[in-house]
Amino acid sequence: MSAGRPDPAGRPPTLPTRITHRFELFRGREWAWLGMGAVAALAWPLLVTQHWLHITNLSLIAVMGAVGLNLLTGNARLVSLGQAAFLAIGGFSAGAMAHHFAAPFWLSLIVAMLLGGLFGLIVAIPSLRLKALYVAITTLALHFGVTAAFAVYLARVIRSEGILIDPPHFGFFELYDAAPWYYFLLVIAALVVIGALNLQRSHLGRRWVAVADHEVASAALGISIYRAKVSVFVITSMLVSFAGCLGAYYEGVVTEGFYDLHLAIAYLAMIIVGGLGSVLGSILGAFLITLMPYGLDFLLKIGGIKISAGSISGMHSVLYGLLIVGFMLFEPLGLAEIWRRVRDYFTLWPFKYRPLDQLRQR
Amino acid sequence: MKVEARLEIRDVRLNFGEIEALRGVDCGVPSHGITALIGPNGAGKTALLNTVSGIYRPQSGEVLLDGEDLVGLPPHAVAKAGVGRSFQHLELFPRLTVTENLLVARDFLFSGDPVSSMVFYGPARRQEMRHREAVESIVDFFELWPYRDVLAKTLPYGVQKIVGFARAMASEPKLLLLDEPGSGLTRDEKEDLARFLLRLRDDRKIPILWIEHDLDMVLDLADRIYALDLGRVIASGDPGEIRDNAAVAASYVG
Amino acid sequence: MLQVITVLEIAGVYALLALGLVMIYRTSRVLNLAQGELAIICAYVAAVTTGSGFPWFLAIPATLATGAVAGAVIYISTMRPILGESPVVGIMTTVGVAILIRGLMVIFFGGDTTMLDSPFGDTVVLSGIEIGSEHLFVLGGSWGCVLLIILFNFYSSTGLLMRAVSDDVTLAAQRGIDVDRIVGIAWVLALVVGAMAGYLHGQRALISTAATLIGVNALIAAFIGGMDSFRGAIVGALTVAVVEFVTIQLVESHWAEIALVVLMLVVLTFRPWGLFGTVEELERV
Repeated sequence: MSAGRPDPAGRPPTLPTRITHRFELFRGREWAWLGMGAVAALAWPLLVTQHWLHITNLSLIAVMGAVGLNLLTGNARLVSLGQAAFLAIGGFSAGAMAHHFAAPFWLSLIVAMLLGGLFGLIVAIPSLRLKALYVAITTLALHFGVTAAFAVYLARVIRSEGILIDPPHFGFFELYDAAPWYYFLLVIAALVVIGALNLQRSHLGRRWVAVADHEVASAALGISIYRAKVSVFVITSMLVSFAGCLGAYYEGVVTEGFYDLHLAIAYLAMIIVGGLGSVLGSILGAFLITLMPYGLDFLLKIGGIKISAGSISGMHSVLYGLLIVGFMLFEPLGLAEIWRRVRDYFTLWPFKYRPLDQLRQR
Repeated sequence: MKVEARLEIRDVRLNFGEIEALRGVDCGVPSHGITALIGPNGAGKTALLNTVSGIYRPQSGEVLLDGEDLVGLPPHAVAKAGVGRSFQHLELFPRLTVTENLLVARDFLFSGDPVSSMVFYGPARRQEMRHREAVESIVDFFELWPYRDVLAKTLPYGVQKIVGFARAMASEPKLLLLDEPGSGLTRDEKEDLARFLLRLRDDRKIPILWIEHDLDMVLDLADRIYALDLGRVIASGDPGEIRDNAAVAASYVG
Repeated sequence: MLQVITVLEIAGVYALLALGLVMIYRTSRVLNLAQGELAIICAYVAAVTTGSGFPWFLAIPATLATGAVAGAVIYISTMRPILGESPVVGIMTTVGVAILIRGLMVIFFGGDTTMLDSPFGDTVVLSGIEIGSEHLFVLGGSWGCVLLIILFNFYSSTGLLMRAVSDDVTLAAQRGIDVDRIVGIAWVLALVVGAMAGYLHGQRALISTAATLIGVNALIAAFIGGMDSFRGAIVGALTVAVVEFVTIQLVESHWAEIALVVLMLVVLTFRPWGLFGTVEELERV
């Protein structure tokens, strides 16, 4: 091609390095930043009060849920309003397993994932023949169906407002205090994040994006649309239910009221604010949105403003709404994109653009 | 020139309601050489390609790839059977890089469960390496070095067309279907395209079914030409025969 | 008899909301997930105006005007900038609008449950049965509006332009139709109709943040009928109303939601485009 002269800088000497350096998750200096981040994360419980450690734990659980939702909504472009439903499936698996069978922690987690996968399959099948847009409605309907079913279950079977769950224990060690929970959740969340990053760079992640972008073209290139959509639904639903189950164990109780549509929208806000299709975005968004109510309370306290509890919850909703609409209109790629631009600005200064052969997608 | 045919299309009829898109098309693609498909707009060229790809299902007729009937197979099965395909309009995946676009075409060659993808160590990693190596050779062939890691949506138009062509080749198909790879290209880019076509024919020995509007280019490059009009083959033969064919001239001039 | 009236009342409210959804979808290809929220906030406005002593013939225009203003504001501020972008963007934006309005509802009206008084006397006797006058008002009001929408769509010149835009936006624009204005009108009209639905809902049931569920049921109705079909919206609304009413009578209200979800999943599995919707064309390659 006339425009494409061989570029010596684009062709490092040996083929293997030329290939691998294009799909490594981290390279060079990024490892150093990661190491520093890990040290800070390990030292975190020593630095903050129990209250803020609790909020951190909630954020870590939200990270897992948001990572799952972002794979589905950001990468595969299937807008899901069923996030709360899948979290509820995880939570109620934990509750039911604990209540009826006094099941151990790990067994509840497995059951939660299986049930989540099953329900993912149930919505995936009618969604297969629909335009991606319609999935929002099937998942919205699923939300109301599932929460109604759990309300019936609580009223008829449990005959109570909620189910109490004993803290998980490993041998004699009980996971109860915020600090042990923090380390436990940190490890799990790190594994989830690495798993999601790996999925994104694997053939599965590419397949999901391809099907979302051009269904007919991907089919003509050998991708089974059916398998692609079912797999993304099932895998992400399992992940979200897993997060829901962990969340229920962390709270020690499941109630129906917790899993309202507000929760589903809060998760959408996380991935929109963080950045659709970006794992880093899911993390940033999960922390930001989880922190937001506490941050708002904190600001109100500092400002000495007294508002009724009802109005505060209303303000939370308004803020979510403004964040979602604002990011959709002005920065659809979210904080992750803003972060990338800021980083580029400083690393490239005084230049503005990267040389062609150094472009990386994420 | 009766050679063993890679693709044989026999009496394919395709209707959309009242509209007859293909009314009994017979044609064949020999196992080497460039076979071109020409015809005015609405002649049914793309419909024929879509029928081969399994995107449309014909009402009757046979589409044989090395003797096996493709009719009724879903598009992804046709691709797996060895049919590579490029599209007339840009159908690149905008959120993927050039390399990843090419890798998507090899998607059906990947194996492994989601868990191994999440771990991405050992077999999954080696598999990724293997396919990336194969894609590198395609990148080399189409001289796409500077664009490897550029998102498809940010590429210039001409490069996007070439990437679409390269993507059709990425799965190492037995048969290549190209839907107007030359439309909208500049003079220089067309010359590149011609070079790639000839190198594919001579070095890689891949049979090509090629839709093209640029008649001069077709007459220069193709080994065999079918002219389509109103869903029928109105003429076929080598470039010399087509050039002198009255029916082709009539359908082009009006 | 009473049952039939109740079902028709519910169906009327759903039909109004579903028609609004269809109008918006046909012109802008956006699913408005905020329809229920918008209807209920308009109902709150009605409750406040009647609560402060205004008669019904002022309260209704105030409610409808709120709907119209909301429609115009939402269209201009959020929908116009993203017109023609991926549908995902549109749907997410309406989700944002929905939660925003929910928040406003809580802040300004405290999320209280209220009810609207019937503009006409208490009860009427109809062929020997005593019926609350509000029921007849809801019945007449909702189906009257449904009729008006249908007439507007098929016999007015603006309705004709709307149908043109919904058939093919590009072609309509090339023919000199001001697509932006038509889509804007569709949004305003849809929300005026939604406000009416909210007002009528307030006549027969409680107004609360939970009442926004009527928006979800209307979405289900529109989906069952087919997102781009007026006839479908009406049939869907009737179906949803019947299913909801019957399950509530037989079991309880929670089961109604479950039944509706199952119904919708079944319909969408076998007829993805809904009962009366047009089969969407394949992507062209």
